[in-house]
Amino acid sequence: MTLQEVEILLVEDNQNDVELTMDALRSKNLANHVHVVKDGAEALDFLKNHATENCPRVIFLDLNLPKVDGIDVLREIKKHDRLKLIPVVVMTSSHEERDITETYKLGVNSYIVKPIDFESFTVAVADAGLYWVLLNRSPY
Amino acid sequence: MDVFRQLLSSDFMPHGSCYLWNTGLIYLHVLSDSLITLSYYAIPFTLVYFVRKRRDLPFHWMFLCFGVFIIACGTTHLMEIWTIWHSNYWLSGVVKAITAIVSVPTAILLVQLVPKALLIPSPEALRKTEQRFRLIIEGVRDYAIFMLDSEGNVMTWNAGAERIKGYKTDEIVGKHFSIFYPPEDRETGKAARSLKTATEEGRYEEEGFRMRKDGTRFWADVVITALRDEKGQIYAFAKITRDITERKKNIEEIKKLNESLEKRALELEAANKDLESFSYSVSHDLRSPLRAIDGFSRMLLQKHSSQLDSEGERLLGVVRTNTQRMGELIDALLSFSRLGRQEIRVSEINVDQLLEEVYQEQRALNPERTVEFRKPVLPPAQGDRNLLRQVFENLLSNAFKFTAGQNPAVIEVNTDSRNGMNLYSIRDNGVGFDMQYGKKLFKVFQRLHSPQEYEGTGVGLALVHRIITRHGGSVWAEGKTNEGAVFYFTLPKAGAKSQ
Repeated sequence: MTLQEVEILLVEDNQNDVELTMDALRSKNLANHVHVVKDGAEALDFLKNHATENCPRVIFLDLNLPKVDGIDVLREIKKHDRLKLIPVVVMTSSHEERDITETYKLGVNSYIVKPIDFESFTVAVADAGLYWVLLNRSPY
Repeated sequence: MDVFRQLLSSDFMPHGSCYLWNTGLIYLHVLSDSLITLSYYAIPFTLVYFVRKRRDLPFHWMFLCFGVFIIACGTTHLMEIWTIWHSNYWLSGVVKAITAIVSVPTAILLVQLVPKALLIPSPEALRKTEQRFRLIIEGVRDYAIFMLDSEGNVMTWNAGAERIKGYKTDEIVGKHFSIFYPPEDRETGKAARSLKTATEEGRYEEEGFRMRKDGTRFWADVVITALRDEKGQIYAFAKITRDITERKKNIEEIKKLNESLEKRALELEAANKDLESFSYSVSHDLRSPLRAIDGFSRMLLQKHSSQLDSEGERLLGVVRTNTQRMGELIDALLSFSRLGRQEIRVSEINVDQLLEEVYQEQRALNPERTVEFRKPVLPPAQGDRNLLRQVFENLLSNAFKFTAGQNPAVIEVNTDSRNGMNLYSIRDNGVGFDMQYGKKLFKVFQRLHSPQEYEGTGVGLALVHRIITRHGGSVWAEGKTNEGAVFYFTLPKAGAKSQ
């Protein structure tokens, strides 16, 4: 399998979380194909520019984002004819019941609560990366 | 022809001959018969006049029978005078016969009429009845009951009217009832309108302000009823007024209370929303920094261990342990606050099975321990399965935790009934607690042991307390230092009415 230019679109405003996530992905050699955006608006811009060509294989989406909230980003993606085919994995600190319900209603593909503990966090992110980039088959 | 001739024949001697033409005797008869005839003729006219004037009288046909009968009687007396000088005895006989024919049915009808006529109340009886009702109405104090003539002028007055409106009888009789209306209603002719409605619909009812003699207002319940005679003409109005100012006040009071309750509910809802968004942002924002602290400490340990001595590594370990603990505290606090908002979904719970399940899970988490578990069959209860599971998890994990030094640990479950509810208890032979701190047990973040002795967040029992309370039950504990603890809680019996 050849890797695309951007395998993972990481939507995350917290620079520390970006670094920790990249570290976890690096352990599985997935870090070179990650594009990071810092808010919801940027995420939507990127996706709309890459809707037909070089679109990411998976989107890791934080919920608490500046400008456009993660839930709204998800809603926009799932409304879009082509973008809705890209799997979206919510990665968030919250296990609020209503976030889980709401995102599933909008058609989220997976919901992961980021553990505080670094080892668990690394395992969770790395596993999600491996699964969605290498194991999972998606239309693109 | 023969009959007619015979009728007028005068073959006999006139009646005067029998009186031997004695002038005194003849005058006596003539004068008496004349007076009787006159009177008898006059009586029917009076009767007819009376009957015409009193059309409401029952049996007025009987008066007409009497009239005819009396005229006939008068005529026989007239014939008596005639026959003194003229011997037309056949004619006088026929007149008598007619009188007889009229009098017999009159007599018979009168006999038949008597029982019916006796049922008609006598004027005396009517007067008494009228007096009785008048006295009752005059004496009623809670209602103003009075009559208006067809124009709306006050005709009668009672004690209630005097009490409610403040006028004495002689002050008000003859006055128009619009005097009771406040000026603004008087201007718009409300009194006349209410009489119009009563006239058209038979009845007028309303609640509104009325004025007392002293000018103060009261809230009145008013009913005006039109009274009609037998021709359908309105001859008076009955008016009943009640002072319902108190009731009105009470209703307003209740309305005000309701409004303030509604306002309070809205405020509470807003406060709840605030709390919810607070815990929401706690959930999101408080965990990320912890993850950074833990993650970067870990990376420091991994990637820069060559620059750290063992003390440095130990210190970073302390940082990480506390990060973990902070994370657990946040999670516990969030689940505790979530519980307040969460809806309770009540169903019948097989407590025996659920508790056994939770015990087996706890047992599996502590495989190295020797535990004696005693439990009779527990009665089912009513509650929310997920929440009750949390209760059992907390209580049993506590029992495991605080019996860590015991070999064997003894955990004993029991059941009883109290105040119509199921009482359950979980006893252990662990470290127990000092009863003087018993009340602190169920408060959030209140702990009787340091995290180094026994790990825990200080939220578990607060959670238990909150869940049981929300089920309508109660929870308490008994214990003694180093002699174990018993936790009691009550739950609604299965099949009991839900809260």
